[in-house]
Amino acid sequence: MEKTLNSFIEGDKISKRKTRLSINLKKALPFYWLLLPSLLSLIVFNYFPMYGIIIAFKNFSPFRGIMQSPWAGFAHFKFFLTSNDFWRVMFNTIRINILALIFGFPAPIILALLLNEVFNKRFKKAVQTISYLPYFVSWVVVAGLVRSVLSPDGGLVNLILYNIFKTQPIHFLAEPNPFIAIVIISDIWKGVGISSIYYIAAISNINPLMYESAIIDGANRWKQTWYITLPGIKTMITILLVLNIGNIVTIGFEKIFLLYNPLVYSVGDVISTYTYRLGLEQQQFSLTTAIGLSQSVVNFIMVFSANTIVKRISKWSMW
Amino acid sequence: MKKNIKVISLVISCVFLFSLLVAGCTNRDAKNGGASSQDGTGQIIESPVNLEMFLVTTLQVRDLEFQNNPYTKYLNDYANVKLKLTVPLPAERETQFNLILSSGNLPDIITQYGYEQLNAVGTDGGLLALDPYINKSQIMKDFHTTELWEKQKNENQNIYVIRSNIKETINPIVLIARMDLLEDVYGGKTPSNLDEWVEAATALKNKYPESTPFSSFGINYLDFFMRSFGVGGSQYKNINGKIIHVFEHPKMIDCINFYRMLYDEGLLDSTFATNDVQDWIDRYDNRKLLVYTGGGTSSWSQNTVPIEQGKPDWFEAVPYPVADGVDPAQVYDFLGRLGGGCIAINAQTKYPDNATKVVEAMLNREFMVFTAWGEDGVEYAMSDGKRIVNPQAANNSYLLRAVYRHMWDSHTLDALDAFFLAGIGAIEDEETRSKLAKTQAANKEIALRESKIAGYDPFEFYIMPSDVSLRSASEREEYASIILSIISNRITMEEYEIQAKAHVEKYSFVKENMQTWYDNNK
Repeated sequence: MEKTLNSFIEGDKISKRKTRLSINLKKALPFYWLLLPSLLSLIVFNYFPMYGIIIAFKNFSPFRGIMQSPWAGFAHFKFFLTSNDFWRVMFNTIRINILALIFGFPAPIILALLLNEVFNKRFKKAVQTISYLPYFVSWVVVAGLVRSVLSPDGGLVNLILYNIFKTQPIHFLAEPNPFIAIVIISDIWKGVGISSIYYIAAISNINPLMYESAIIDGANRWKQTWYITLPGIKTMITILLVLNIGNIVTIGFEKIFLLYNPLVYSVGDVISTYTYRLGLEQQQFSLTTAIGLSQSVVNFIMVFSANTIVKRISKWSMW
Repeated sequence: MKKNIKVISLVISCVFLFSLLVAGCTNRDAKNGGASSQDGTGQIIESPVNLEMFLVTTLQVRDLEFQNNPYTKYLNDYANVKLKLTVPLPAERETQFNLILSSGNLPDIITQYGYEQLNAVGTDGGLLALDPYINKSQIMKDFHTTELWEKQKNENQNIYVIRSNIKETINPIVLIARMDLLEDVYGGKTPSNLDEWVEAATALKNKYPESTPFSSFGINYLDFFMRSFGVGGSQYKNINGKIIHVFEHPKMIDCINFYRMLYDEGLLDSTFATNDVQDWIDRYDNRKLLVYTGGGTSSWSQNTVPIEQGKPDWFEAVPYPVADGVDPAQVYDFLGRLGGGCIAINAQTKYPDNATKVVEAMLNREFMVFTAWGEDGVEYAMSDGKRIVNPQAANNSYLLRAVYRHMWDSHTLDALDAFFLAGIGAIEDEETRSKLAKTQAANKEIALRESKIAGYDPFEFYIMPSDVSLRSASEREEYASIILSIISNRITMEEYEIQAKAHVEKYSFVKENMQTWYDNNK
């Protein structure tokens, strides 16, 4: 009897779920239709091409095609893992990314918090717009601006330094350590505005009553920021931090390629410029696919690990 | 209302879906042709076939018309084709070529500078083996000597790529100087050795503090005086049959000290190491650049622009200064026997016979003369068996004609004569014309003399194996880093010696490979 009752209840639950699902599907059908092209696009352009990973295990020739190209096994992985050049560029990439994470990650958070304190709406909007604009400027233009401003031959920074401190011209882009700083600072300048949008949106979701309660309790602006605002955007910070950690072995090609020169090669040659040399200049498609695959695997491990650590610490995670 | 929303969302999603499906579709031109028809006498005539050609150049070809001109017409008529030409700008050439290669979708006919890259495509099965066609065509056979045809065979003993013929080109790298500046600050004297060049540059800098007597953009164009020490050009040198890296060259330290002195004295541009090509052009145009290296017999043409602009700038080839104890043969630029320009045919082309005919046309001497002088009645007129050049027409079409001369090099002696007559014909002032004629003669004399002493490049036919090339992918960048760092005093001499030694050791396999090749082929 009990068994029958239980199975009846289970069956009832299942049929209720089915009914809910069918009702939901019926109600939301237009939205599923709208979602369909994006899903198809994701499958066609992101999942289908994954079969191209096979190139990493072959000696690929574009004239023979993927299937006709001979197998190479792990030869390409062995080549770059035993190559000094690869470890040098990997070290450079990770170094720049870690420094960018330390200095660049807090920047949009600080900007968002500061903007949150501005009461003059016009000024706030103006600052927001000005901070977003560099994002839309191409790296080619930004690199030209950076080179011009930092030039030892009449550049703005050297002119100011000379007029104030009477220093000799400094060739910033020719020195390894300043070069890293310039790459990070220009990246922050370009991306801080657009990144702050996430945090501004998250801050706007915080219930204003909490601030009122805090004021009643005698909290000043610092305490309100520390105890209300920051916890309120904690989720957003976590998500973006995990995603950033997931890109620790990847670095943008244009900013390095346009700014670096032979004098800073020892610190400026990164994995993307190395892959460019091998892939486009030497047509080593299989080798560069192997490098790309390895990067993706490492990034995946980093994202997963970061998510697990965050879950342990804050009891919350992305998944 | 709900129904309306459903209908609208369905329509929008169908539009997105449709556009998604067609997004990746490309519109390839229909390759038709080869259809036969009969003319009035019953003779069968083939209609022209459509072929695509990728034609490279080092010239600035923006706004030139390539589909409808007498030179494309010549090729079309010769081969019974309708050519669709893609001629990239020099700055885009490498990128476009690499993208074409990586797509695996080659045009029917491909040209490029650099034999190795294209030859690798041939070995990979991407190009048509041309041996049967060369053997059938007297024009193609006569294009090179038997020995030179042998040099163009790949490891499978097939010829996939034909290199340009430069036996009618004498245009070695020479030192080109601003004669007006030497007139201004050095009494019109041409420095004959390195010390005198330093004196002249110092005088220039003293008179014009903003000037940059010497400059480069990174390692490029830096070898204006490196050649004087025998360490310019290639990173590997042949000293009495032994292949060494320039870091091991006995004169390398002297060269570095010389350049460091130029940098310390402010005679070498302070930003030479980080300049890009636009910065160098700025020094050339506006900052009184005293010397640079360029082609010997073509460099007189650098004067045409300042003449037009009414500027006093005057460029002329000067004897290359040779540092003490250096063999002049190591200083001067070698002649080549095979040019850098190459042509090949896609193995998948539907019309190999027509494509080969196009190649034959490009190799035809008649075509070379046609592109050198232009059309009779347009660029020149015949009078008593001599060509009288129409300067305006000839100058207008010079660039266009030079592009088509890819397989003969744009600086054949015929073309240079034609170009010179056109250039000088456009100048009204008799004194300027006389000066230009003297410059051209002087440049030619220096180019011929120096290249005769240098002889032929022993490594002209060396092809670096792909595994060696792969392992040495970063060599040039590292070499540039060390050289630029020591010249600009960013590292000490002790650090340079350590880095140079480590560099030579790291890439010793390149030297060994070259030595083996040299020993087997000398």
